[in-house]
Amino acid sequence: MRVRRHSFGKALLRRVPMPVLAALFGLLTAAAVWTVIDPIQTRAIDNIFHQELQAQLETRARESLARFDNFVQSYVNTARLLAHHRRMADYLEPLVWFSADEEPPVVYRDRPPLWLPASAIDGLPVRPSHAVLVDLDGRIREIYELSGEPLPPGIDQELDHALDNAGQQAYMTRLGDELYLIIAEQVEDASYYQMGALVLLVPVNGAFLDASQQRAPNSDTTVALVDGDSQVILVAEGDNRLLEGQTLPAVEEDYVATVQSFFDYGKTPLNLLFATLMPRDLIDATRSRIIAVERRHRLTGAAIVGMIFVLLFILVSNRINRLLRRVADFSARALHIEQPMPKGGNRLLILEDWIRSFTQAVMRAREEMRAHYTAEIEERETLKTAVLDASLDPIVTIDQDGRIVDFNPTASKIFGYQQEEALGQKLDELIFDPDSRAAFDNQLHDCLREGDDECQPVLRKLHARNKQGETLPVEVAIKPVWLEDRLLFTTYIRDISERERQAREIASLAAFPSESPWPVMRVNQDGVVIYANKAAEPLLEHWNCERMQTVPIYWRRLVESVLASGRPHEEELRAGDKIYSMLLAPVPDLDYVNLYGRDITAMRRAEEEARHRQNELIHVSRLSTMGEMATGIAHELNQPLSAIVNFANGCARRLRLGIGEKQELIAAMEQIASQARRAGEIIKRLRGMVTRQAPVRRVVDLNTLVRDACALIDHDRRQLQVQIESKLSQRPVMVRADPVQIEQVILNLLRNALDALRNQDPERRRMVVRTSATADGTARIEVEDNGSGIAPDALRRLFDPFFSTKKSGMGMGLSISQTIVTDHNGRIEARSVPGRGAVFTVELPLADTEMEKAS
Amino acid sequence: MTQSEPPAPTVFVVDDDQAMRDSLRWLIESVGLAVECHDSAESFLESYYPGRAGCLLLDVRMPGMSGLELQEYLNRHEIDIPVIVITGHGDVPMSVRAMKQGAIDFIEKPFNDELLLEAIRRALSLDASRREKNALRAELVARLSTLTPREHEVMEMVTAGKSNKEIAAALGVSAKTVEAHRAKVMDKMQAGSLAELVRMAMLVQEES
Repeated sequence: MRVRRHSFGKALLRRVPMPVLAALFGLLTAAAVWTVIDPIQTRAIDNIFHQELQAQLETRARESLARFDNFVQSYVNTARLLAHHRRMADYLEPLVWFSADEEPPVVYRDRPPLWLPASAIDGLPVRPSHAVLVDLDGRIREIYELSGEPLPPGIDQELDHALDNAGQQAYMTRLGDELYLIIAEQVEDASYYQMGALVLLVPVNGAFLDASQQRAPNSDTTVALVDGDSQVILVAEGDNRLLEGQTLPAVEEDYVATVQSFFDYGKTPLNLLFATLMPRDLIDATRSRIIAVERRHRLTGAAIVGMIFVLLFILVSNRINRLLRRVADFSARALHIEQPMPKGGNRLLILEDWIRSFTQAVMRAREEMRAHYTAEIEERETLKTAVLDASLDPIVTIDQDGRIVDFNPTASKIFGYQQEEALGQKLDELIFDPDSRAAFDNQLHDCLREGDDECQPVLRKLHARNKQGETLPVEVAIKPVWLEDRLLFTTYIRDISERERQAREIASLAAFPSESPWPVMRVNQDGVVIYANKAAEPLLEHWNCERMQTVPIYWRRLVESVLASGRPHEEELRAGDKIYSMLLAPVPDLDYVNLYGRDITAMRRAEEEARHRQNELIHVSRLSTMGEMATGIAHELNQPLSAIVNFANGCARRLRLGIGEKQELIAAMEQIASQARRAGEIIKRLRGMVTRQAPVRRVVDLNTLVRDACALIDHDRRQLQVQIESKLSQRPVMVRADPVQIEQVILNLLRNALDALRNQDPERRRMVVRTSATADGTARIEVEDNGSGIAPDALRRLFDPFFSTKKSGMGMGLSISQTIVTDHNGRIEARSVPGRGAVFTVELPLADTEMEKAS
Repeated sequence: MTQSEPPAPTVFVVDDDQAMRDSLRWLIESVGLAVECHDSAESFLESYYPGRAGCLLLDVRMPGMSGLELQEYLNRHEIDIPVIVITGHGDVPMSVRAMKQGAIDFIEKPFNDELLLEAIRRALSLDASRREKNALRAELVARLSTLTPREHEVMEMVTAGKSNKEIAAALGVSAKTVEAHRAKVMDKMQAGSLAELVRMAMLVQEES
């Protein structure tokens, strides 16, 4: 707004109404636009016009020349047609031109010659003046004077030239005062013998040019041929014949000329130029017409710009008016600034005045508000500090560099740093675990990116470290605080170690049953499976039920009874090849029964395996015992066998010699039989002890077993010269037992006793075997020896496996014996007085029949 | 059993097993030999006196005095009866011991009767020849005792292969004298030739 600060001008301006001012400015703007643009525009148009003109002239000139060339070419084509016409060849066929001929050329004047068909010539716009036949030496043989006039002078030289160019190019030359187009074309007779050339002479005059351009008579351009050396116009187009003879510069006053040289008539001896002329007055008229049109357009433009300006101005001033009125109303109402509102005049200046006073009023108001606000802020700050201090969570405020600017008392308590220590430190280095620092920095960046104050700050789980170096899990929330001059972050750090611990505990408790490798199920009072862990699935499959379905009837009954009794119950369950021990634990409050399964397959298998092993061991031990006794037994067996052999041999000899009494022989034979039986007995006992057989329970007489065992050790006994005192019960002592195993036990005891006697003086060796049945249903076997006895500490370990006092013993005998006896629900014990001997006692339960008898 | 005239040998069987004894008797009697059975070494020693011709069939394994102990006892008392040891199968160490102690053979039970009888025959013939040799030696010893000391010396030298001259030089007597002694020795020893005399000398020396 260009307002001059002259009080007078100002006063004047105040009085001018806004629309007037606007119109004034609009006019001024339009005028300015016009003055600036008009000369520039005119110059520009001139330039454009000139360029356009030049281009157009050149185009026209090129077109004219092209037309001219085409026109000439049509003559060349005609000449070629004539030269190769059939009539020409037929005509030439009988002719022979000798170079020595002196006859003058044949001249046709009124009638066309035979070799030239008239129709070919008649079609041309400008008829050639002459058609000439020339022989190979350049002598004219026949002339057809179409114009009725003789050949122009100077033709002879031109003919040589024409012959050289025959069949190539037409060319123009000047003969006398006239310009001619000369076209030569070679001619041959019917048998293609080259005879010479046909030469056409075409006068190039106004009519020729006219015809070459072929256009409307009112065309504004003219073409002319100009002598390049003298610049004289030789021929001009039909209407402008008067230009002929004038020089080109002379006509340039009236015409704009474009001069082109011929390209195609290079052999022309003349320096001919082709000129295209356009009258100047025509050009000038066109130019002024264009300029006038342009000026009109500019004028309209300037007017439109002015009007738009005025309109804009009025609109803006109206807007300002309205604004001013509102502001005035507002200031009057809200700020109580009195402002006179004149009805007319220039409102802008009024606005300026008013703004000044308004600014002052606002300044005053702001001062008051600031005072009020500062007080309020102080109050709030105090409050906030109290809140911070009282907060249960550590709250730390840091600046943009991460340095602590505030550290509340809870933070001091939890992290162990006094506020003075903490202030100025980097928060992440002071508080956070190295692993968590990067995460914390990320969170800082994230909270800046989120930016939105409405957003709830994101809680992150990090690891902090207190002054003692203990790691605490914490939850961190960061809230950026944009202050006027800097950015702070309020960091809330919550110690969640206790919470996490509880959460873990709850989670682990909840996962308890599902983690159990053993089946855990919960069944309600109706027998519906409420819960079953993964390990329980094979069980469910076995029961052919799924979760939320009922268990089989037997188990439903069990559940009911357990719920009724309120006491847990254990039950074994075979599911496929698995054996489970199921504990049914009632939960009476909820009417549930928890089923805890335990896979005892392996245990059961192990028991079976152990039993099997034990039998195996017992058997092996028996085999081993037999092995140790093998020599004795073999000897034992050898005795009867040897006796048999001797008896038999003795018999044979006697019979062969025919000596010997019959009675004698019979007695010997009986001996053989008896000895064979003896051997059989031994083998039978042996086989019983050696064969592997499944453990059995049979009611057997202990006395029999003792006797059999004694028989087995008979050889050893004899070797040691021990007499066994058998004090067996008068009545059979019946027990339910595996006879082989019990015999094995007795055998072990007997052999031990024999071994114990080995070092004893043979005279004093003594051994007693007793059997008895007591009234309380116990069968007892006692084996007593008077050997060296057993040392007390050896006595304690006597039944341990691999414990042996003998050099060669495996130490398995008594251990196995104990196993066997225990397996028969009996017991075995040893008593000894060192130096005086030992007693081994085996007690077994009497078989039922025996018990009845005993009682 | 039957106590026949002295040359009739007896096979003594010592075994604790009744059947064994009976069967052995049955077998051995089948070839016409006299058999005397004992159930223990002690019982054998009680009835046996040295000079009884025969052989001993001895079981090595016996309660009381074992076969080996009996063999030792016999050796100790220079009772020179051929011993055949009867062993059970696999009693190799005992058999070896028995052989070392001079048993002439050992037979494993059960017996091949041919082997057993052959062994018995061999034992009896050994006993017989031993007895014969002992008788001859006793005779020679008796003859030797009739020689004078000088004749004794001459005989030793002659049997050592010395010539009359050497003997004369050694004894400091004349060759004629030596010749006379030598004739006396040949006469007293009832030797028909020098070779016979040498054999006699060797037989006697064997004893010592």
